[in-house]
Order: sequence, then C-alpha cells, then structure tokens
Amino acid sequence: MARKVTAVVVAHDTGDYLKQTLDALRAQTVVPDSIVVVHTSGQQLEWINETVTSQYGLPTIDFSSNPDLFSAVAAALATDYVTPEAEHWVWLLHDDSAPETNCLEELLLAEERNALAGIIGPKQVSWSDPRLLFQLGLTLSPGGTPLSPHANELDQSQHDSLSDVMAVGTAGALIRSDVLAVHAAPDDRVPPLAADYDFSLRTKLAGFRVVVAPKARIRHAGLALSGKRSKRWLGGSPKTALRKAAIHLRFAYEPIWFALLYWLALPITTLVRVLWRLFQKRPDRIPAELIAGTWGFFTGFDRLASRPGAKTRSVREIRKAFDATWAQVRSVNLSRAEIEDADQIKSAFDRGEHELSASETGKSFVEDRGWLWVFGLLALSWNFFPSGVAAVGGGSLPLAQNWFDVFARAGASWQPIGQGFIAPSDPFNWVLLTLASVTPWAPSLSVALLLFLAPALAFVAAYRVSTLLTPKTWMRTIFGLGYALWPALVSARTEARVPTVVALVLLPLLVFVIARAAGLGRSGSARSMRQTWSWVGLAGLLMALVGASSPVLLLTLLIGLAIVAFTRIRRFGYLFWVPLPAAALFTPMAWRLAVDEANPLSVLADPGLPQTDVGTSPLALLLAPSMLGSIYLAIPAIALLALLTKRWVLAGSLTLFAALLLALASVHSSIQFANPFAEANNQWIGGSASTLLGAFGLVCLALLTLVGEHSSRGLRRVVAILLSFAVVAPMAFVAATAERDYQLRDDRVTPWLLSAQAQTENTQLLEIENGAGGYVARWMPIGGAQLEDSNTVYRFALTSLNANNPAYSELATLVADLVSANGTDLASALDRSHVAYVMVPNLDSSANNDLANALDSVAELDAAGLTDFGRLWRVNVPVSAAPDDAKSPWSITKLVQLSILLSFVLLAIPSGATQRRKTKVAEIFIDSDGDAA
Amino acid sequence: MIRRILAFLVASAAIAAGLIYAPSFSFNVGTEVALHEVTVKARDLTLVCPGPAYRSGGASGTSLGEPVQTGSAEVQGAWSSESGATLSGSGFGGSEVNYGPGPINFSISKPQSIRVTEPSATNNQGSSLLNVIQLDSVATDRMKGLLGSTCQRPQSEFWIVGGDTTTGRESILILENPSSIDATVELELVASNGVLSIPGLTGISVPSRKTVAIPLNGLSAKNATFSVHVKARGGAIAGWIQQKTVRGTVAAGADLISPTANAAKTLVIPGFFVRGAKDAAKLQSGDGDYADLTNIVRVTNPGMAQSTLVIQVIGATSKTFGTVIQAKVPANTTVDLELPGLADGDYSIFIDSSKPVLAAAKLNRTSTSSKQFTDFAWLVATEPAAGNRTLVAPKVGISKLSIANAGAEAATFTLASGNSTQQHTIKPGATHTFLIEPGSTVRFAGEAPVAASVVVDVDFAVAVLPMIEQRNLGGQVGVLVR
Repeated sequence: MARKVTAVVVAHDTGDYLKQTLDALRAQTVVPDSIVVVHTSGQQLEWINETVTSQYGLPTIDFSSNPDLFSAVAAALATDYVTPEAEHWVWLLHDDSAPETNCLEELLLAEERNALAGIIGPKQVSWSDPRLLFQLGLTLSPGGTPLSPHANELDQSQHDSLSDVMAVGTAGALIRSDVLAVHAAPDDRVPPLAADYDFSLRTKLAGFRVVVAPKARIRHAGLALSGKRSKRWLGGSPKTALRKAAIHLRFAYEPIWFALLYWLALPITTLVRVLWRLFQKRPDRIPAELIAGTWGFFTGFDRLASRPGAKTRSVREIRKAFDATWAQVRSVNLSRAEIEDADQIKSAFDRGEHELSASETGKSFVEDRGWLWVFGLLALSWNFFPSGVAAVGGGSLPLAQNWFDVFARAGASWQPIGQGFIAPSDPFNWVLLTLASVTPWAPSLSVALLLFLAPALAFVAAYRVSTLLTPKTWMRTIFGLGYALWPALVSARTEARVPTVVALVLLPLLVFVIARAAGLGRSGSARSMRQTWSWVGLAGLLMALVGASSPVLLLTLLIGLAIVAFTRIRRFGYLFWVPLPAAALFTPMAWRLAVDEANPLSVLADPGLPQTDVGTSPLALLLAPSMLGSIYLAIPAIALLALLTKRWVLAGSLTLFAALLLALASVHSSIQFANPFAEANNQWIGGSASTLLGAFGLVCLALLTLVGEHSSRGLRRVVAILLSFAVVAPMAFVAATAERDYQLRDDRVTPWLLSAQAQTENTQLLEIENGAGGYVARWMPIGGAQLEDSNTVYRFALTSLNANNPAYSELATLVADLVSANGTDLASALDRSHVAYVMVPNLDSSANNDLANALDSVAELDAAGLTDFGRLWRVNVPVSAAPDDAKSPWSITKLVQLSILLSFVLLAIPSGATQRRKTKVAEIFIDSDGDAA
Repeated sequence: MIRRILAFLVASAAIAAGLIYAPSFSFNVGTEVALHEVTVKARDLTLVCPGPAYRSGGASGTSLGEPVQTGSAEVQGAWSSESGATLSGSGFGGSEVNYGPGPINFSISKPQSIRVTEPSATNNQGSSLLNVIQLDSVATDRMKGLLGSTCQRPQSEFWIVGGDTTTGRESILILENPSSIDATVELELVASNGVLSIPGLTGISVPSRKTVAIPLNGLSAKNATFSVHVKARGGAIAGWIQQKTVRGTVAAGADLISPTANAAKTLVIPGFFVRGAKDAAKLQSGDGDYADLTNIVRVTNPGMAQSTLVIQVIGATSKTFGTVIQAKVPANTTVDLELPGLADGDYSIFIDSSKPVLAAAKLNRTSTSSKQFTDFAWLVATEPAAGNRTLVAPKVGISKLSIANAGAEAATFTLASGNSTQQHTIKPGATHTFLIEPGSTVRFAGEAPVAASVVVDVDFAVAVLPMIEQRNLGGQVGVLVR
C-alpha cells in the first residue's frame, strides 16, 4: 500500500497564524494527501468558515466545547480522511506552527531512514527569529521536570545529527496513524503540556521509535506557552500548566512506590519549591507552584490511574537513555535566566534607565575612605563601649539570657505576665530577636553593641543613601556625619531608647533600598526582575524592622511609599509587596487593640519602655536644651536654599515632606498614651517624636545635598566650610560629651537566687512598691521581666484586667494584706496566686522601708536578704506551680509571621543569578545592544 | 528664577509661621488604670513607752558602760473597748498582762509596750482607740527636769530633730524594738555643716524586745545643732533622744525628744508656751553657760536643694504678739533659728517652706523667783488631724492644751471632758489654749484638721506631749496590679 499523509491542523483562536500555517502547507514541496482543520475554540467563529472553507477550500471539524489536543486529533481520526494503518501518516500541525517548504519532504525522508519510527518531530524554530531553536526533542531532567534541551540556542546545525529522543512536541510531528489511534487516546486526566510526553513515552513503550528530523524545520510561535492563548487551552497559566505536567509525569512514569511517596510528600515538596522560587527571586512562579501542587495532591488517584501500565524496567531504561544530565539542566536554566535578564536590561534601556558612568556614580565607600569616619565616630562613642553585657536603664532592659527565650517571645500569642496573658506579642520583639541573633550567646550584648555602634552604623547607612543624590565625596561625608550626629539619634542613644535607635539606624537603608526598587536616584535602578525582587525583599524586611520599632514612622513611610508607588507606576507591582512583612507583624496586635480593646490609636504607642520627650510644639521639639546643641538647626536653614536651585520642584516636594514630618512629630508627641507602668502620678506619656525628627533630619540633609550639588562652585565651598567647622564639628562635640543615661552591667533582671531558681521552678515573683497613690504590685515569673516581655496590648488592657479579672482582684487583696501585715492567714492566697517570692525593689523611700518592715513581720514570708534588686522574701508555705500548659513558643500567628519574614529573607538574599548579573551586566548589555544593532 | 525665589520665600514664611503659631493640643489614648480599693484589717495598734530616764555612769556617775534606766515613770492613758477590743501589755523582758476596761494608770521601770487587739477589725485606730503618755519627773544631782513623751507606734524610719552634745549637755539616743523580729538600724546625723561622716552609724542591732541606748556625745561631741535620721530594717522600732543639761555642777533640765512629723512644706508646732522670759534674759546676761536659754526653732532640710523658710510665731491672745523669721536652710543641713524677744505667753509656731523640711522647737522654762530653776522641752511638729481624738491630761501639775489651725478655713470642734462639752472655733492661722483638768480624759471632735499638744508644768519643770494620731496601715488600701 502506498504511503499516505493527512495533515491535521488544530486551529484554536488565532486567525493570522492559521493563515500563515495553511499558506505554508500549500507551499510544501511534498503536498499532503489531504488536509483537515479541527477547530477547537468551541465558538462559532466566522473567520474560520471564511478562511478555511471559502478561501482554502478545506474541510473543518468544529467542536462546540473546548477539547484537549488529542480529543481533537481523535475527531480527525474518526473521519474518512484518516485510516489507522501503518502506511497512513498524520502530520499534526498547530495553528501557530508554519512548516518550511521542504518540511514534509524531510520528515518523510526521515521516516524512510528510521525504521520503526512511530513519531517524527521536526526542528521547531522561533516564529519571529528562525535562527533560534524553539524545540528539538523533549526530555526530562533527572528530577523529572520537563525540559526542552536546546531551546533558545542559535541554530548552527549543531544538533542536526540527532535522531532518537525521549519525546517530541506534537506541533509539526509526523505520526503513524495506527500509533496515534492506539496511544494517543483522549485522556482528560493528562494535563495538556504532559500530553506530548505521555504520547511519546507510550509510543516508545509500545516498541516504536520517537525521532527528530533536524532538517525538517517548522516555525512555531508557542502561543500557548507564551500565554497568548486563552487560559482554557492549557487549563491555567503556562507556568501552572508546566508544573502540572511535571507533577503528572512523576505520578505516571516513576515506579509506583516512588509515585506514592511523591504524592504524600507533595505538600512539603510544594512548600520547598515555593521557598526555592523565592530564593530564585521568582515569586511570579509561586502561584503556579501552589496551584499545581494542590491540584496534584488532590487528584493523585487520577494521576495514578493514568499510568501507562508498562513495566517499571522499561520506563527506567527509557529514562536512563534519554534523561538530560544535571549539567544540561543547569546549562538550560542558566541560558534561560540570562536571556530573561538581557531582555529586561534591554527593556530598561529602552525606558531610558541608563547605567551611569563611573564619574557620575562617584567612588565607593571604601574608595572614599569612609572607614576613617566610621572609626572616628566609634572613637567619639568611647563612653558607650559595652563594658558590660547589658544596657540597663533609660529605655533598655536586658534581654533573656537564652536566645531561644527571645525567639519564644517573638510572634507569641501567650505572654508570661501575671497568670498568663493571651495576646499577640509586640512586633518589636522580632526586632529584638534580630538583634539577639547577632550575639546569640549573650542576647543582651547585641543591644549594648547597637548603642555603641549606632552613630557609625547610621553614618554608613546615610552615606549609602547619599549616593542616590550626589557623587561628591565631601557631600556624602557631610550627609553621613550630619545624620549620625543628628540630635534625635544622639539623645535616643544616650537614653538607650532601643526602638528609636534601631529605627533611625535602619531608616536610611530603607530609603535607599526602596529607591533602588523604585528605580529612583543617581546610582541607577535595578533593571533585572531578580535584582528588583531582591531589593523588594530587603525593603520589606527593613520596613518591618523600622515599623516595628516606630509605628508612627511606619505610618509616615507608608504614605511616602504610596507616593513613590503611584509616581513610579511601572514599579507598583513590586512596591506593593514591600509593606507585607510589616502588615504581617502588626495585624494581630492592631486587630486586638482595635477590636477587643476598642482603642485603635494605641497601635501608634511606642514599643518597649516608653520614655518622656521634652515639648510637643514643633519649635520645642527642634530646640535642644543648650545653644551648642541647637547649632544643628543650621542644616535645615541652609537646606531651604535648595528651593533656589534648578531642582526646585524636587526641593519643594522634599520641603513639604519635611514639614509633614515635623507636623506629625508634633501631633504624635501631643497624644498622651496610657502608661500604667510609670509612677502613679505619671500615668500618661506623650508619643515619642524622635524617629520622626530623625526622618526630618534625613530629608533636610537630602535638601542640603541638592544645594551642594546644584549651586555654584563658590557657594558650594562656603557651604562646605560652614557645615564642616561651624555645624558638624559642634555636633560631634555635643555627641562626644553626651552623658550615658544607662548602666552597662550583667544581664540579670532578678537576684542571682531567683535567676538560679527560675531554671527549676515555675512560680511567680511579686514585686511591691509604695507609689504616690497606693501600692503597685507587679506580677511576673521568678526569672523576671525582660525587654521582650513588654507588651503594648497588656499596657492598654490593664484597665479592664484590673477591673474585671478576679485573679487581679485576689492579688490586690493579697498585696493589701501583705503590706498591712495584719496577721491574716495568707497561705491559700499565696498558693492560688503562685507567688513564691516577694520583692520590694526601691528602698530609698521611707514608704518602701515601712513596707519592707511590714513584710518582715508577715508569718508566711522569710527574709532572704538585701539583693542588688531590692529586698527579697521567700514564701515559706507551699505554693503550687504556675500554669505552663500554654507556654509553647509556637502559634499560628508566629508561623505566619515567621513564614512571611523567612520568605522575604529568601527574597532578599542575592541569588547566584543576581550576583552574576552584577558582575557581568555590562557585557550582557553590550552584547544585547550589539545584536539589536 | 522668580518662581524659585517665590517658592523660597513662601516656604520660609510658612515654616516660620508653623513653628511659631503651631496650635498645641492634647488628647488621651487609653484609660487610666483604677486602683483596687481593698479594705484590710490593720495590724493591732501597739504603742511603746520609753520607760524611766537613763543615767550615764551608773549610780555614782563615774563608772564606764552603757547608760542604764533607773527609777520609774508614770504611764497614763485611755483606750476604747467599744468594738470588743482587748488591751494587753508587757514590759521588755516581762510577760504579757491583760488590762481591764478603764483608764491606764501605772508606773513602769523599763520600756513597756501596750497593744490593743481588735477582733472585729473596725480599723478605727488613732488616739480614740489608744492614747498613752509617760511622765518621769527626775530630780537628782546629775539630772533634773520633767521628761514627758507620748508613747510611740514603732516605725521603720523617723527623724528626731533636737539634741545638743556640747559641754554639759548629754544626748542619748534610745531605740526600742517591741517586735518579735530583730532590727538593724542605720543612723544619719545631719548637722549644720551637712551630713556627718561618722563610723559605726550602720548595722546597729536592736534585738527583739530589747532597748539600745546610744550616747550621741560619743558619736559627735560638742555639736550643738543636729538631727538624727533613724532607718530600721527587720522589726519596726520606737526612738527618742533623752536630752539633759548640766550647768557647771547643777542639773538644769531634761527632756525626751520624740520623732517629729514627716518632712513637709507646711509644719505646725503647737504648745510653745514662753514663761520666765525676763528671768532667762537675766541669767543669760550673767553667765555664758546660760546662753542656750534662748528659745529656738531647729530646722532640718533633708532634700537636695536649699529651702527658704518663713516662720511665724503666733500668740494665743492679742497681748502675745509673736514674731516672724525668714531664713534659708541649705540642702542636707540642720540650723537653729533663735526666736528672740518673745514675751511670756502661749504661742504656736507655723512654718512655711519652699521645700519639705523637718522642724522642732526648744522651749525653756526659767524661774529665779524662789530658787533658780531651769528646764526645757523640745516640741516637735505635729501633723494636723481631724475626727474623734482623745487626749489624757497628766495627773500632776498644770496641763494646758494648745491647738493650732494651719488650715485655710476656720476650724470648729468640741472638747468634752466628763459631762461637759464645749464648742470652739479657731480662725485660720490662729492658736488657742485650753486649761485641762489634771488626770482627765478629754475627747476632741472636729472636722477640720488641727494640730495639738499638751503642755504640762510641774513645779516649773516643763514637758510637752504632742497629740499624734497613731495608726497602722489598714482600712482602704489602694493597690494597682500590673
């Protein structure tokens, strides 16, 4: 019987491509015996009739639904055009695959040369650039992922010797009709992009060969894979379809035991892959991973049911013969990533985002000898050198002595306050955890180190942000020094306001990173997607840390970020994600404060130990106590001159923002927050304006840089000399002579006796003081309360707890009986309250001395002596242990927060591709440009 | 360029205006935590009487060793058994004795503690529940004078303003611990040149139910002006300074100086009765050893900043005009301020200070009419109190009740003794004197707080018994749990 070829063209919804494909069919040197068009869009499309029937006179098979590829082929097989027999071949064409004129001829020659060929695939080349290979055979990675090993390579006939392959794409494939009829049965359980593999592998398992004919070329647009077709065609996005295909092939072509194991492990595998995608800076692929993973897990039976039923050994042999090597996989991935980067760089260049020349970007920090200034600032901080492990006093308390204890408090939903308090931890605890992770062997040391290093770190950070504005070394140095010595930072460091210091040190970095992510500033923008995601990851983490340290500054930053995002709308998709970690940290606390405590504004309360600020009016906030201390105001005064430069519009915007910051600082310091932990006559405390004043300083320094950058040389010299000697030098003097308001000592918060006892005993310590309005009792674990135990929700819930909680009333009665030493039997009350120790911390006042003497005469207490934290008594009656069933450090809140933070950490870590891009960007860019030319 | 200049000017003006005219406001976020008002039973009220006078040098006056108590002292008092309370007491080292209803009236030869036990916990402590005084009239070659004191509630900290360790003067600090717990005491002597740095002022042990007598002459000799700050850990203690004067070989007065009221900006010292002013002036002019017959006010500034004082000595009648003194007291010092030119009469002293201070006054009693006799009494500042109060008049000599009103409103009160009740009103800043029947119990009732002392004169020897409302912590106790 003579060999017969029927061309089956599967048309979906692309008229222009279809016309070109039909034209190419007509122009073949060897014309198919018959041509049939299968229309699969499921719609009544007029142009199909006009084009296919009227213009080309071809028969059409219409589907009312949207079938998969092989259902469409099966429909063609069911007609008279195709007879399932060995000599009848089907040439399967997609509507976006136009064969070159000799394509069928070459395919038929290949058929003649390859006995037992069941499927013969052509060399698929790019539709738009036929010099590039689109596909030449398909394979699987050793991990089972579909792989087109030669895609995007320049076609230099380097693969023309290829013959047998694992699989071929169906576009342009010449298939024996009997093979097609038997092994390409429609199976809606097989996802579309796995269908080609599935068909090829089944054909191979049936004893046929799957070969490629490299001389048969076909231009393939790959509309489905490039997302240009309706999502219905692939059953989702191309990325999802690709991942589904990979999962299906695992189920179908791995040994059954492995397939079952894979099924069980699929959720974890999916999670790991999501994290890996983050590390790859490809968050765009995460939805596909999640959708496909979920799909695979819940349709596992379908996947298993569609296994070919072949012997495992046969599949293994095919895999062994045709699987790609890891080296090939790496090569393909690398090639793909570089092509993507090159495309993005070219797009950035087209948008006018140029790389700056070296003369325009200025020297690096090291070349500028910035380290000299860092050492200078460290020398000025000699008084703050951490001679003790912990900074105690002002706004600082020691952290827990164990890193894991600090970790337990971050994101916790249960607080060890009183008998246990169910409420979310402060977001600031994550900041403390970050700090503690720097010196995990002594967590408190990190705080002491931070206070010592703060000006130097602030200098480095501010220097970095100044590179966005100027290439001039002296201006960058003035910028960095001005910020490092800014009074808000100096006084915050002096008073050990840990949250403020953290926020002010990180603020310039956050500004820099957001600017990079948004493509703002002189030093260029991130042009590759991976690099941008890396900036976004870092920005998200920094915003979370800064925001957790200063909620009011977070509010301001969100306003600023919104302005940037809407003015750089192209970057909106990136910048949108920056506040996510901060939102994750704040949502539980904000919800609790807003809904349960009906006090939404309390979310703006400063975390940690609140400290009093001086003044509330803008002028009072700006003026320092001394004349010399106020000399820094020359900076905002000179900065106003930026309005006279040619960048006056930018300067005007910055001036407005500075005014907004100052106004917000005044408003925030005017808000009186409940402060029940202070003395009884000081129960209200204004919000701290320090972080907003620091941000104000940053904006003023930016304006100052504009003055220096865009003024005449003479004025620039005057400004430089004036700033150096009359402003920065006095600021340095003020900073160097600032008195430290905290102590540097060991990291205990309770006497040694209790610190040791806390290791084995889970009872409570009752601390009693005689305050102005009555007695103040503090209820805490015997290990004491550290900085991470500060809790904003507790601060605002204390009113209702004292009013409504019977345990608090009972404790108040116990305290009253203790202080009156009236001989009441207190054994049961002490037991119920789990109070095993009593301490009077402050013996300076006569009232507390009276109190101590009263406790001396309480029969249930034995004096344990005068400790360095106050006088201590041990309860001499049996006291039951405090409830500890809720002490698990884990909670849903914590898991969610930790997941998001870790995700952003992965996103922020520069991946290999990003680093490669950093070192090779110029070459890639030049190559790309050269090619285009 | 014009636009830039305009922008610059507008921005500069707006910022300047904003800095100067920014409105100030304040609003609260959160609610203030209310204290738990817990009603608790107060500890049983215990008062300690110092016992008879201490004699240095033993019976001969020449032997070495600690001062010892000799003779006996008269204890008088009143208490209320209305709430079912019972009264008990014991001398230090002795067994406890229960007393029946009725006035307290016995002699003691050693320190005595007296306790009222209230089973019903009415928390109505104060002088109406228990008020006890002690008088010890001493007339020996080496000590002569009337030593009077209101028996004291033990405390953990107090100040005794008074004392003199110059030649012929002896100050003995008496510390008594009636509790069952040993006490450790720390002393601080604040003199005219500041806090004295003296070894041995800390770690003084006062064992349970024991008395410690510390001769201050041994700690700070020849010091005319000082006050003593006593802080105790462990058991609460009571304390006095026993002060005596010997001019040459003649005993010339003795007294017990009680702790003074807590440091405050406004203080009142009632019962400053000047008698024999002319005789005193005569003696002063003749012999330098009588120089201390001048009436003085001693003020201690325990704070860290200088205090400015206005001291008004107000007479009870229009014939006793009084005087006004202004002075400055440096931080952490004690000063003596003379009150010269006061004619005989009944006065009270009102002190206004810019900073909290402590004060007491020394009153001299001099007579040269029949035979020369001098005695003195240290009057301590007393805290004004209102409500029902009870005082006991010594059963010997002449007793007068001095009441001073330091408030801003007139104080109306009743004084009842036996079946007689009289209502009186004292204008703000004024003082009144009432003669009271020896041995009588006088009940005071008034709504406005007033300060009061009983001045007793026994044959020219004088003592002043301050009226103090002594209460242990109880009733409504405010507690904040956090």
